[in-house]
Amino acid sequence: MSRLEKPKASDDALMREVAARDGAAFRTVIETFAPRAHRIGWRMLGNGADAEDIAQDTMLRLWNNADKWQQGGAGISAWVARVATNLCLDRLRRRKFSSDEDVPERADETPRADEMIDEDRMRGRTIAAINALPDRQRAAIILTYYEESSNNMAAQALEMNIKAFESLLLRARAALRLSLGDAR
Amino acid sequence: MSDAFDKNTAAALDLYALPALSADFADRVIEKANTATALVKPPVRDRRRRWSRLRTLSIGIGAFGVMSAAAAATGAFGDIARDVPVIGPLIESIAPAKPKPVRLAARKPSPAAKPIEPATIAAAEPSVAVPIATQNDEILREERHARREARLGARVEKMQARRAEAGLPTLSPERAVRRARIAERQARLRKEWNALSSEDRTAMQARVNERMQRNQAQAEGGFITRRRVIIEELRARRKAQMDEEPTTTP
Repeated sequence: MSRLEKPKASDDALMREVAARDGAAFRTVIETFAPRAHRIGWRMLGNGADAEDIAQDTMLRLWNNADKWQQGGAGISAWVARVATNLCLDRLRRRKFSSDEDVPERADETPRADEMIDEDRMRGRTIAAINALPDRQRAAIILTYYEESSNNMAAQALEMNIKAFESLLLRARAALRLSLGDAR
Repeated sequence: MSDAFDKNTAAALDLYALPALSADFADRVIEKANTATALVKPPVRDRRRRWSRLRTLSIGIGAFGVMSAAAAATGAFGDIARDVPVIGPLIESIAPAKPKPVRLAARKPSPAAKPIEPATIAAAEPSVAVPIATQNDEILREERHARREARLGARVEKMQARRAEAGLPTLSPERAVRRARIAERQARLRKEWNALSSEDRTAMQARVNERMQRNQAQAEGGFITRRRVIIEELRARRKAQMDEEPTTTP
């Protein structure tokens, strides 16, 4: 279990206070865990506005379901990662089915390479490579690399069994390596 | 960050840094959370739902009660429903219970039927509970039966009187009743016959003749024919005997 996801004894106490509608406790939860939901949202959806929406929805869900919090579980951090990831996947799914516009090319969302100095150019390539991954592969990379989730926790977040997740992660890494290798 | 990526890939991934959340993010979320909490479960809606449920329940109970009372009043449950404390009086007010069947067999016979009482009037059957729906038919049947028995008794009495006037011995009650029944049936048939038109009488006569001929044809070679042959033989034998016997007269 990663450093970020390690459940603390204080998580349960904090959630008891949130369930009792303690505003100060909820503020603590937001300040501690909302950045994680925000990061996941940004990397999954590719922009800051959607990332804030995801972070806000995640926190509101935590607030509304605080009375159903299971003591001794995986902790708030794991819960936030799972909910934020699934909110992102739902939003991507809806975006694909509801939009009547052509899906823009992923490369278009990135800064133009010839306008970038080396580091910026490389950063743009990285973002393009991550965005070019299929949704679930992208989620696997974000959870395991950026959010430092264990394979087991990431598999739970994506509601997959561990073998299927490891296979998914393997394919994601291969695709990313190939894409970044071409960029270099 | 992860050992699964080579150094170059990991270095590239690390370039994807993100800006922090806006400073007032927590305030905005808390404000939204408080708004959402205030809107959760408005009490008016709950009360309305409770009243709606109560109204549906009471309509259901009322409808069931009316249907049960109607079914009981039409006799679907027999007399059992009349014994139920609440429903019984309700049924009684809608459909009063019909009188129990009268035991007509135990009614005092008319003086005319007195001589044939042992043979014509059967012993009274033990009373049996009759369903309400058939009580009217039962009463009518009993009345018809009593009238027929009285008429039969009068006919027997007249017949015995005629025999006494003619100097004939009176018949036993059983035989007198049997003859009276035959005479009554003949009288009824005669009455029906007289009521027919001439065309109907002709048609009926034709049907009777046809039936007789058919029966006779079926009987040919059967019992009737054998009987007739035997009778003829006996007659012939007796005649022969009478012819052979010598006259004893001087």
